[in-house]
Amino acid sequence: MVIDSWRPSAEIEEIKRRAEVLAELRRYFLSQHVLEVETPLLSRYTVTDPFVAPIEASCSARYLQTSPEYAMKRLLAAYGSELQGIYQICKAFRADDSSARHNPEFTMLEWYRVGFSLQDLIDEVGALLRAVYLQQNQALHISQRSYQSLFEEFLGVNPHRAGETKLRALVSSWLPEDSAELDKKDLLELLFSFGVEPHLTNYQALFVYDFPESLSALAQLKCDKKQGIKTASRFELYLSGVEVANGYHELRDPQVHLSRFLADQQRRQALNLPAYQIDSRFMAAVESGLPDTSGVALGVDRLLMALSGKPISGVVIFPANLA
Amino acid sequence: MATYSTSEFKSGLKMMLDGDPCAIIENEMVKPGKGQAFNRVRLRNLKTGRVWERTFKSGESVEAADVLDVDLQYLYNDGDFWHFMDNDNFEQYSADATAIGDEERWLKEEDICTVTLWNGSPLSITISNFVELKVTDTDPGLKGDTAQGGIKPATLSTGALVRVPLFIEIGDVLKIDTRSGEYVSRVKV
Repeated sequence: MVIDSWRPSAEIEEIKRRAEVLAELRRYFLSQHVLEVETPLLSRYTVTDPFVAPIEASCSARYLQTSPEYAMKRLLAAYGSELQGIYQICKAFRADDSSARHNPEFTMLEWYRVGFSLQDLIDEVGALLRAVYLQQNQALHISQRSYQSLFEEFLGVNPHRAGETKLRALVSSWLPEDSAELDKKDLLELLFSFGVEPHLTNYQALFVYDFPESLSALAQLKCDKKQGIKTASRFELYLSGVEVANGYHELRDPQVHLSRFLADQQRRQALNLPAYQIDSRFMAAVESGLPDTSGVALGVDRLLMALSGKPISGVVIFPANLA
Repeated sequence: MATYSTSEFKSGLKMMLDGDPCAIIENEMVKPGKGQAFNRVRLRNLKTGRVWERTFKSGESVEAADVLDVDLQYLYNDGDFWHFMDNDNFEQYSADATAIGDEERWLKEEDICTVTLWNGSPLSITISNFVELKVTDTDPGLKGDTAQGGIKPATLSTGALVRVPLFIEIGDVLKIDTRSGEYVSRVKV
């Protein structure tokens, strides 16, 4: 409850903790020879993802970045062979409502590691978390589960093989009204949010890996020959059931990039969402060749929420309603 | 028709759902990083008191419910309806047995209570936390037994049955906690 609207919503202990954690993150990357970089917050292009809503800066025909992904990949396309990795700690912006775990402006740690497999990067996120929890004198238990095993345990179906009709029938217990406009990707996201995530609160830190093909975003696909399916080389980190990080073995093929962006644009059109151009500078960088890289974005505010047990207003000094 | 968008959802907001007025108890936005946003909402059906859980796609709009709380004075019961009056404008309202529910046992003429109006008609009533009611029937108390912890039943003027200490007599006025239905004290008249 805000009494004085000029005062910070975070207590001084949490403001100090934020500074300590940021220092520990930088110390870790320095020790691993990962280069700190800065890319623009204001960009001429934004993303095409249907459910990532950008904030437009009215004066300059620029968008506030929803993540530094494209600019960092342009940097990797140019200098990747000379680097072990790059990281950035910056603000990202999304035009979503505020909630106990959402603020339209948030702090993101994003990093890319050249030559890393998805599992190498999962291991590194684990090592980074251990360093931060140790600095904060907190114990940490890390688990790892495949998307499929969680889906099967809590919803009773194989997410890679279940057809749309089956998924739609499952969705009806949360969304009894019309689910017609939801596509397979939306159905899977909804089922995971409502049917699986509430059970993940039992895991202090959990890596969920190998996502369904339709949730690949900009992750590479890999073939599971035993099951005869394709999965996305993507992972997400959950801390006490809250989504904190999202990582990929990064897609490199320019044609696949283009087809995924075009599919996004079609989906936006079908949902009457604003249309956004494909970032031509990013596409040119992909065509010139991205190095073999795994990358991850981690919400720093969410990490601080897990360390403090507080909602986002307890760890952000001035959340949107006080900004 | 007034509507609310999901971005306006907050606890206490009154809306129409399946034809019934409801109040939001809790609203939570569920938004995966790459996925669509939904609002998971717990609501109380103001007609039945039942709690519902519903999921809305963020951006959806819902019809607002014309529901408001007013303080009214209880006048009388004509056998079918309970009649109330707004002491500010002397407007009268009649409530049916569904709206009155179990609260009837605490409803004393001339007392003020909170009436929830939906489209101008009483939907439910909320009695004050404490009411003062006269005892109309109870067994005679035992002389000199005032300090003991014994209890007995007593019938109040509204028909309510409460457990009271042994020293309470017919004609006494008692203060009752309507939330628990328990005797609090005897009121000096």
